[in-house]
This record gives sequence, C-alpha cells and structure tokens, in this order.
Amino acid sequence: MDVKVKAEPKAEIVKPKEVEGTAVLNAVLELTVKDKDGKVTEHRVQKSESFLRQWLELLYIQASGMRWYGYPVRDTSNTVRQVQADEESMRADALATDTTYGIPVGTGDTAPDIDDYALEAQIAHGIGAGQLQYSDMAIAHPAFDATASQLTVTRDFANGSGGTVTVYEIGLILTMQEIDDTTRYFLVIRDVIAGGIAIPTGQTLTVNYRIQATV
Amino acid sequence: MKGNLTLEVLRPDGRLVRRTQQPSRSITVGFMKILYSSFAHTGWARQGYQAANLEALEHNLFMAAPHGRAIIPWRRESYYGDGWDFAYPEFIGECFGIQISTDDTAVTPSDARLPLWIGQGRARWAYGRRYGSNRLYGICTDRYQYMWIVDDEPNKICKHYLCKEAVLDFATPGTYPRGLTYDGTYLWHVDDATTPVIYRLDPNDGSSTLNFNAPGTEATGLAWDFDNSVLWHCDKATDLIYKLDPADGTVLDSFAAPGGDPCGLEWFEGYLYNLDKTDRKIYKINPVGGAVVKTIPLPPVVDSGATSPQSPWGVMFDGLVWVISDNTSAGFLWGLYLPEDETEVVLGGMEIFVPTFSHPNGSMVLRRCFSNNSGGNVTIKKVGIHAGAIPELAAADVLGTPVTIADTQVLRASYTLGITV
Repeated sequence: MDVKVKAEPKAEIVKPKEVEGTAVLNAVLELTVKDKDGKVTEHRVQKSESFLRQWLELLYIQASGMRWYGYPVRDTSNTVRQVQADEESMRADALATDTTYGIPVGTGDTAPDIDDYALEAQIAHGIGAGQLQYSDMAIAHPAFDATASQLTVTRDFANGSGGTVTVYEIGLILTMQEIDDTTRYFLVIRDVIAGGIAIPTGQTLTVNYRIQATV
Repeated sequence: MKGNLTLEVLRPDGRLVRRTQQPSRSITVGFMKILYSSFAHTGWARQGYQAANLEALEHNLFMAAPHGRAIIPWRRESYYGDGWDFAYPEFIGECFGIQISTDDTAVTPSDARLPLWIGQGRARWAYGRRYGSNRLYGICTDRYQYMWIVDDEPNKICKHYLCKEAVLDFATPGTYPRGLTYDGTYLWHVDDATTPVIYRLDPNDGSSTLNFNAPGTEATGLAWDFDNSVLWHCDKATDLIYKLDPADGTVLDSFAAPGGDPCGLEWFEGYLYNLDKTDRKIYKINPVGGAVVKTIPLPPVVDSGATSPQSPWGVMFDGLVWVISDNTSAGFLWGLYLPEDETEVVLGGMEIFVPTFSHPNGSMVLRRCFSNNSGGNVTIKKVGIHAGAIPELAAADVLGTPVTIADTQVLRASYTLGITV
C-alpha cells in the first residue's frame, strides 16, 4: 500500500511541561500517529536531551567560520571527515524518500550516547516489510512570544508496509561539506522512545523536533 | 544544552580581581533564525534582508570577530532584487561575537541586537539602498528601531527599520523636501520651496499638525534638541545655523555654519553635528556659540561613488554608526564608522575553543576580552553574542550583578555551552 505523506510545517510556540528547566537550549520531541482519516491514535511528547558531540562540533565549525582547512567530525557512515563551514552547512531540508538527512527513524533501543554517530538501526524508505515512507522535511519559520522562541522541524512517516512498524529511535541528521565540497551527513540528536511507538499499517507517524529557548 | 556565562576582571598584569558566574538562558529568536536559515537552506527571512540572499548562509553562525582595531572604514556589498541594494558588514570586531553593554533591560526573545553596546569605533555596517533614481536628503532615527529618509524623487518620506527595509512611506507636504528630524513623537521636516516651510508631521501618515516659515531662503537640515526641546535648522543661503522655538519658528539664536555648504544636521548628547557637502566633513559644534569642537572627515570619492558618497547630504547617528544620505541619483545610504580616537573600550579578538568531551559530557567555550582605556570606570550590565554574516543577536544575558571594570582593567567574558547525554 503506497501512502502519500506530506509533512506540514507548524510555526507556533508550544510549551509542554517537559521543556521547563534551566537549559539554554532545549529540544522537545512530539510524536503523533494518525489513521488514514486523520484521527489521532497516539500522541506523545518527551524532552529530548540527546544533543550529540557532532552538534557542538558543527556549532564550533560554523561559529569559527572554518573554511578550507576544516575540522574532523564523524559522519553517519562512521568516517571522520574534514568538515568546513560553507553555504551547504547544517541543512535539514531533505526531500521525500531521502533518508540520508533530516529526521530519520529506527528500531534501535540502546540508550543514547554522546558519541552516537548514526541511528542504531535506521528504518529504510519504502513499502516493504519493516519500512516506512519518508516525507519531505518541513521546517517552520521560527516562532516566538514574550518569553520563548522555537524552531520546529517536522517529518511524516507513512506505513504502507502491510504490517505494524514500531519506531524506537529518532534523530536529526544535518549536512556539512568536506573541504573537497563533498556533502556528508552528521547525526546531531538521537532520542530513544521508551517502549517504542507503533505505527499500524495505513497510519502515519508525524515527528516534530521543537528546538526551544526560554529567556 | 546548558549555558554558563563567566566574567573575570583582570588587572593589566593578568592578575584576577574578581570572577562571577551565572547560568546563561537567553538565546533569542535570532539564533533560531540562524538555525532556520541553515536547516531550510534559505536566506534570512527577517526584516530588511532578502529571503533569497543565500550569500549569508556560509557565515550563518559566524562570530570569529577579530581584534576591535580591524575596522574597515567603508564597505558596501550589493545584492540586487526587488530594487534593493543591500550591504552587509565586513567582518569587523564590533559586529560579531561576544559584546558587552551598559543596558540592563530584560532580554526578550525578539531582541535583534544588544542595546548600547560598547566597543571601539562602535562600528556596525555600511549600507546601500536604491530603487529607481532616488535622491536622498534628510534622515533621522528614533535611535532604537526606525529611521526616516527624505526622498525627493518621488517626494516621499520613507520609514525604515534601522538600516533595513522600508515599512511605510507617505508623500511630503511640498515638492522640495529636505531636512528631517524626530522629537520622540513627531517628525519635523523642512521643504525648500521659494519660501521654505517647516512642518511638524504625524509620523504615521505624514499629516501636518503645525507649520511655520523657515528663517532663510535655502533650507537644509533640521535637528531636534532633546536637552532643550528646541529645533535647530541650517540654511545654505544665509550659511547660518538657527535655534528655533518649535511653537512658532521664532529664532532664538543663530551662528555661522562652520563650512560654506551646510546640509544635514543632527543633535546628539548636547552637541550639534553639521554635514558640509562641499567640505565633505561632519562638524561637531557646541550649540552655545557655535564653536567647532571636532571635525569628522568623510572618505574621499575614489571611484565615482562606488566606495564613498558622491554627494553627502543628510546625517544621522543611531547610537552606533553615522549614516549619511547621498543625494546623487543612486539613492545610497552610507555607514560611517567613527575613528579610533572615539575608543573607550578595546575589543579583543574572539576566541572560539575546540569542543572538549569527557563522556558523557561535552562543552565549548566562546571567550572575548575587553580592555578599558576610557580613563574611568565602565560598568557592564548585559552581555550577548552577535552572530552571522548579517549580525543577529543570538543570545544575551542581563548580569545578576553589574560588573565594573576600572580604567586599564580587562574584562574576560566566557560563554560555555555544554551538553550531557
């Protein structure tokens, strides 16, 4: 069953209790499963605390304006790349079917580690058994109110596999370029979903990562 | 991700005087917009910058500012689209990285820059603008968010975000629009008709709420004196600078303009500033008696106006940079960075340390030093970070306790960003 999916960007301030804290920057993971009629069958919100080492390394490269000589960062293929800041840096705008960056999902349930460089077992795009259909990434324009600002990235995963697929891990992969201008991919966030979230066939999982700061 | 701000005051010999530390929580929407530009691979979709300006992407989080002396006096980069011609700053120390301020107002997510920031030269950016064949004359600002520009082709007053896009325009009351100033409530504008008239205008729609004749016959600049609530005005024909009663235009005082071609007029912190178009100078004038206390030269025209104003006319100071309007048909605005002798605090170069990791933690430190050469104490109440090719306030923190740096002492400000998995 081929299920069409299209993630819709949402620019709004959402303040789940999970966000509260003293961190300078939070990420919140919001998961919604809907059936073919759009009825919500499951909804979860959890705090994401799993910014990985690549996140800091990419910020370092970008803040430094590092160009030509690069800085070593491990990519999703477990290869250390000499990465530079350029106009292709930190993209998350993957198109449908593209599983190399943006938000990926997987079936691994090992607790996140700061040195994680890829999902433990990433789910492939497709309609075969155990596969999900990756939508375009949707990136909402930043929203803010009197006390908070927020950036939301969204992706839909439709299950046309004919069976239930359970997602246990979710991440965020960004692009960077090596000093030879080859695009590489870097996992910057990885979260594990306690107990997993089941997506029955014909249903769609919407993943929202909300990166949020509160003054 | 957690943040910490550490401030250390050091003696000139490097010995620590005191050290304070506080959590940093105040990431602004500017940081989110920087991330957005990268994540979505699109240009800045915020006020004043074209969304298609992908040139900014390469330096989205750039904050590696050099030492504060690395001032490039004039810089203009052009991006054409929708008739706009934008500039963005050269990588000068004052624009990027950690900045300090005497302001202590609470941080809000929408803050776009650190108010009252301190830095050598207070440089920010140069700016170009054009659409059609505009000729720009008077210019003024609320010194916070907006500025207004007089454009005599097509006889309009245009309201802009400071050095950014237009948000409003309305027709001028006459057909020879010249000087412009803002008193905090109204715009004051002079039209150089056969008998020049000074108008008080509603800044929302340009309607005239008061008008009277100007004292001369070739009206140019206007400036509002916030100390005395009077209007200052200059005239090319009489070559005089007038002090006027804003109620009816009565001349309260007058003195000779320093040059022979007085155009733009500005008032700031007790002094008048008069731009002389022929002399290509801004004269700082004591309003009591008219003595010139300082002269700020404009750069010479070296390549037909591509690097400096051909026909400077209006002048305004937004608290950070002088902005000069150009009444050539190009319709340029220019930023003028103050010379080094304006220095109070010298900014050191930004230090961006390689991230370090100690399982399960990681951290990265951003650091900058500020030397107080002002001859007196400087008290810092807010610290922030400007990042990006088009500087955006990415984070700011009001200090729990203000930090005073005595003369010759150094403030070392460090932001530590940490993650734990």
